[in-house]
Amino acid sequence: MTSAKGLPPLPLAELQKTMSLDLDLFICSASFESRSLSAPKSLMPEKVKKVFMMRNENVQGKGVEYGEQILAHFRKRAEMVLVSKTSPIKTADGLLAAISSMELGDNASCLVDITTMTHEALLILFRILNKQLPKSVDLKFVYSAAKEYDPGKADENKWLSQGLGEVRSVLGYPGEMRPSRKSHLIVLVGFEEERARKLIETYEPAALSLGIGELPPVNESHLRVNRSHFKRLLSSNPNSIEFHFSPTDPLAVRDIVLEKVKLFEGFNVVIAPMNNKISTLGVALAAIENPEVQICYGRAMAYNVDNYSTPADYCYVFSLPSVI
Amino acid sequence: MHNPFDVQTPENLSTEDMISLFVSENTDYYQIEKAGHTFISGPRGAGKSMIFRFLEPDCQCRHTGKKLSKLEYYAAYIPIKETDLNLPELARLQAKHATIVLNEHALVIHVATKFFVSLAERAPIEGASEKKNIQQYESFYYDKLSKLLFRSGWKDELPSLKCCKNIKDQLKITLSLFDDVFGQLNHYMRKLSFCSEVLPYEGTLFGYTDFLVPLIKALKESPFMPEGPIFLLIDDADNLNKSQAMVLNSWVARRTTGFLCLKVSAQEGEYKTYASVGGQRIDAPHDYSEFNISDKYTSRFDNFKVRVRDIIAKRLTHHGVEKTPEDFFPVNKKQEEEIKAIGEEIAKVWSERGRGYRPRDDVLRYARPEYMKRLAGTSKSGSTYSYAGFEQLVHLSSGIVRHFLESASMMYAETVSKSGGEPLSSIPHGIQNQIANDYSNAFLFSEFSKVEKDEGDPSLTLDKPAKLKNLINALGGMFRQILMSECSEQRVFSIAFSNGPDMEVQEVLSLGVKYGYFHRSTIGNKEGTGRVPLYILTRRLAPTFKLDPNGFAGYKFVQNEAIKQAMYSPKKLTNMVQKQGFETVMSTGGQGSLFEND
Repeated sequence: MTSAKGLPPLPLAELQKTMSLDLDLFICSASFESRSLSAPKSLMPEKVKKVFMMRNENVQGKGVEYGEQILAHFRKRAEMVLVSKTSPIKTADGLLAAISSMELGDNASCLVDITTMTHEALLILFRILNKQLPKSVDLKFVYSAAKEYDPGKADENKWLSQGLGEVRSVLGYPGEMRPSRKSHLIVLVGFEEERARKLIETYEPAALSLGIGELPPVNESHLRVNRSHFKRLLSSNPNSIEFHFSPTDPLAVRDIVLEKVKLFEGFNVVIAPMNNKISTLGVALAAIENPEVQICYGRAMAYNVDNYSTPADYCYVFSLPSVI
Repeated sequence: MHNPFDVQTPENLSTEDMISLFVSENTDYYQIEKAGHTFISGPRGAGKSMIFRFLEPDCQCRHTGKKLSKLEYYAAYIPIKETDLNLPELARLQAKHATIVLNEHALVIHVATKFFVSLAERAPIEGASEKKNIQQYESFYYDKLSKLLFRSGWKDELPSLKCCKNIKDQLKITLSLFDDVFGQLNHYMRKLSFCSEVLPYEGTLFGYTDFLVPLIKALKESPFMPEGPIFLLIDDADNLNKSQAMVLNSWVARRTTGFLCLKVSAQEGEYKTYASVGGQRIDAPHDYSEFNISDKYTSRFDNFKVRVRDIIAKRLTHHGVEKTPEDFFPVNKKQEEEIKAIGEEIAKVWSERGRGYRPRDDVLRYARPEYMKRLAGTSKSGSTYSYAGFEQLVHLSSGIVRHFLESASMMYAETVSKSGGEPLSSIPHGIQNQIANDYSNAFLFSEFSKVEKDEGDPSLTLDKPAKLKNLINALGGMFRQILMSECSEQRVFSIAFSNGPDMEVQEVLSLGVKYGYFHRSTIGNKEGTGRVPLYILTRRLAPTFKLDPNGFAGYKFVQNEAIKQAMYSPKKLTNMVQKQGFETVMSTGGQGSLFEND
């Protein structure tokens, strides 16, 4: 379903129709964003056999309420899996236990709503799915688009998260680091400029590549905000290498990232996926293809829980056949 | 045009730049040079990494004119970046004995690798291509290192040194060997990722006493190494996790100082623990000596001034400017003449109204505050006071060399932009004053937004950064009121606690110390029976609050509740201080109830 020009948007109202069969497993995530309801509520409960709804153990804002709405929508088919922002091990163990409990037969169908998972939880889940699911499973991903981030604010005042807590490699993507080597940090920049800046300061990389998701098709208003953040990051890191990627084409992201990895031979390579979740899966594909590279995650200190985004009425649906 | 005051990461400075820029006098450099374990704390920008960089062998050989083997010590730089040893997979082993063992293994590999990086990149090894030296290294590699590796569980053949033409090539191969050992740990981590059972680690396992210590002892016997001790300069140790800090503390507790000394730097208050693996605490001075790098300023301004003067003089000379720092950063002459005239008035009436032992004491203490008062009286604003002049700028840098350099760099750039490309011989006092004000305001406003972003908690109405900002504003405002008063000690920058501080106040003050808004020290208590914490507001903020940064400044005893009120309702408190006086409100508990309505 992917193409070099990015994924075609799909009206949420047509999401169910694109599932040719009933779903054996639907995995989604409840968060403080109302976007976390977009895909789940577009599915007919009777067409889904089992639902795992991930929810952060200390979810803020309306996260509990939205989680209850999802559970109520799917009733007894749904089960909550608690994940943790501070303990990736806890997240992995919870997901592993849930997915291992499923006996998915040949040609089973599985849909994962990646919209509001944290980057870290998504990457861990992807690793587990890659490890646990039989290759014959028809695995699809859905990402519900946002109409606007931090709605109602002027571009220069928009914010999604504040501060940078612990910086760590993502569980399952440790790379093959060699302490004697210098490091090359590749950042896929998104809205969170401050978090990216702190992450770069923390790594003090010898080489830095900064990517902006501006290859079409992209949401023009998101791009306008992204560009201004990106320019500021470039100006404070004048020796960095700039690259462009499509935020709605995971395979193209994988390819461009693998290309950038080769720029500095003999360096430890660390990738920070800070753009949308579709491009984050592209980074995961790159790290699986080249296990020498590490993926890192810098936890935010706080999120704009009350005004993070407004949902759009469309989504992207795709599969990644080359991996599973 | 190159800016002589640009600040660069010391790690990236060349030997030549270090020699021409580093000033060892009036720093803690000579303390660190002494044999023994040492902990160095201090805020960012105080010069810890610069001292470490200068201790490295390339700088030492150039500085002393000695060959590597004749140096007094060999100092290897071991930076700890937050991401170097932060392996989430190790959390699987938490509360299991292996967590300490594997954290120690990871730390030993890191230190050993950086030690060999130091030899490969920073050590001017004489005769590195001579056959006998190459053979000597081979014998270290094949006899001693291989034995240590096999004892630690290494099972493969060592990579061959056959094609190496010099010691540097041999060191590179040795480094690849350590990378492979780390690779084994990495492989184990991979297996741990999604496995909740305990998996046995079967790779090579290093420890301090059974690997690192004998490795360094064996290397010390190399003909190119100095006879003196080896220093491991562990920079930014606050980035170690708690288990790794405990491991490092256990190393400190060992008596290896005869040949191996640990020099550990950390941001003040950020080092995770002083407990060792066995649970015992390491203590100064029994196990190590310790000092705070910014204490030199808070206790001895003259030392700091001389140091900054030397640094600036070196940078000017390096840049081809034949001027003294005082000439390059001139004072506002008109202002200084007026202050001098006020000083003469004070000296004249000293015999009738003097407060100090000598007329000179009163002149030093009251002439400048009196000038600032008169300015405020005439223009209803003290903003026309000029913060120009080298010595005054040194005071504004508040013990952090980087503060001086950053503002000097901005002054230089501003002057260049207005000079039409002419070579500069000085910075006009107007530009100095303008940048000093901008630099101060930026610290309290735009830079403070970083504290808010990094430490803020939007779920709270008044989070820690907000309390800190309130406290800074309240203290700045009150210190200004004291400066404008007729009390005997008009220059005040510090507070000491007559009770407390309690946990809440301490947390906010610690945040201030972490980001450089306060310095922390101690002072004798009122009763003379012990010491209490002293918090000194950075003089970098003097222009924002229109304070006098010069000379000796006093301190005030305060009550914990008063400081809490400053954190919650600063305006109310400063109004009360204005009406009732500082002592009544802040020192004797006359500030009323914390949550009374305005």
